[in-house]
Amino acid sequence: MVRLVKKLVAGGKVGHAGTLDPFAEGVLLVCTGSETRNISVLVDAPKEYRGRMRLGVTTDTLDISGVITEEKRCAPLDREQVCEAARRFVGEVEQVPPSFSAIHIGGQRLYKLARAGAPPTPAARRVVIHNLEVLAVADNRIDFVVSCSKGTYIRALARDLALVLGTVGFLSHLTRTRIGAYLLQDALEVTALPQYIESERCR
Amino acid sequence: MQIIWNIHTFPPSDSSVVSLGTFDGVHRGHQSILTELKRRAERAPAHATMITFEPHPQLVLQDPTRPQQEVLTTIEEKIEILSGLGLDRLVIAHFSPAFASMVPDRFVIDILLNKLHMREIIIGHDHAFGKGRSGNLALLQKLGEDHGFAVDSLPPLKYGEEIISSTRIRQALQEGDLELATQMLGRPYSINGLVMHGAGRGTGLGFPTINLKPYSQYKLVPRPGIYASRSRLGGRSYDSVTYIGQRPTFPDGERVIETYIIDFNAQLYGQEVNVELIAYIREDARFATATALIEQIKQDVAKSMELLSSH
Repeated sequence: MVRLVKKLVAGGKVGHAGTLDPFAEGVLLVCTGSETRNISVLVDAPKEYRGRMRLGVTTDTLDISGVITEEKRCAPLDREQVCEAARRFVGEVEQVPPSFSAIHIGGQRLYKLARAGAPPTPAARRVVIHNLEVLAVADNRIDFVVSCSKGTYIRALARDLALVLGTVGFLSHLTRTRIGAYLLQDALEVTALPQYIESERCR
Repeated sequence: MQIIWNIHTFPPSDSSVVSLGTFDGVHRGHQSILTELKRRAERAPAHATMITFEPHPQLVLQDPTRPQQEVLTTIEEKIEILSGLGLDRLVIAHFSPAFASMVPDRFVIDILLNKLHMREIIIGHDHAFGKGRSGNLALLQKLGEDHGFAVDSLPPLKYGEEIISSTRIRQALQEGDLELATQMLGRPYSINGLVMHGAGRGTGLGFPTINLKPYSQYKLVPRPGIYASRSRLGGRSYDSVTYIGQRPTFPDGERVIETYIIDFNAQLYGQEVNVELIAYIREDARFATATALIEQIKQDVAKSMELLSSH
């Protein structure tokens, strides 16, 4: 994305505030020119996601792109039970990042170590989950909306929520709906970017 | 069709004609009840309203020492099928132990009368609900007299000499009698799911398959073997061959569903696919050499294409 924008604006500084997993979609903030100064502030902004997780199956990446590593039958889900479990994750919580993640361990990206087959277990990190709302529970599926601090892994949240429910799980869909004051409904489609940048330039 | 997930927060509505049941599989017997429901709702006129239970009550009430109960339709599949039947509303009643122990009178008064303003109810011949299954036809008739609604129970529908039932269809699928299951369902048995990374065995043999994970672990996966199938994705339907087998590495006998979509080449990971099973071709078998297996797969593909062109 950064490379694309860099090409489009032809020179100048370009940077992004917060990565987005390859299987996910939604808001990605790309700053250009003098706005790049704000990146350090923007990366700290709270984020909001809409997600769908599935229980009873998990993958090495904890998302739909991974290889199935475990299957475990779970009891039929009770909506109340899921909401109760979700409440345990709201507030300041300790979270162990997924093995497939962009954090550095010993100067190396963790996902590179994971791909090589020998991922060390990353240390738990303190994150804040401001709100976790269960939207729908059907079959082995939970749809939810979560708002959280920077550095929170929704894949890890899905993993941990499944554990509390006595099974395993993975994230099948994820959409980032918000970063700070920037909402998904105000975002531009990637395909609309070239035209947008062109029209801004002509002003 | 309006879908009501939480009846408790649903505002009281105009009058309705109601049908009630788990309707697993939405087979031809269920379909005939729903056709009648629609007809009577139009005559009233009132909202044709179906109430179903999720999860399947037998999953919630199951004796853990008995073999795992499985379902013909997940709730997502049931919604899709019911959407095509022209009902006005579908109420999905969350089935929990607390719900199961509710006295039927309360359910009828609080939900059916106060929320849905039921004027008439149509149930299947064997339906019973509520605590100890005491919510049967006799009780409904008594409540109907007290509260002024009509009650009707439809006789079972038969296929040949046999009564069409979800239990019979499950049994037929487990035995590999796909023909009987298809006839009783009134459509091919199908499996909705997500394409996930599997072992990828087929690719090395020249027949890349998709590894389908059903939406629910309780989804009934039919008898292992090779099936001629149709795969629906992105609004289109493709001829395919489906292998159902036991995965040896998983202790609780989790089945794998691998589908080879004929003349189709695209990455489908993470996509939603619906596989309709059209005909049972043969049993799962072991082959001494890869060449023998490839030869057999070629024959399976040819056989499938032949069968699919006549179905």
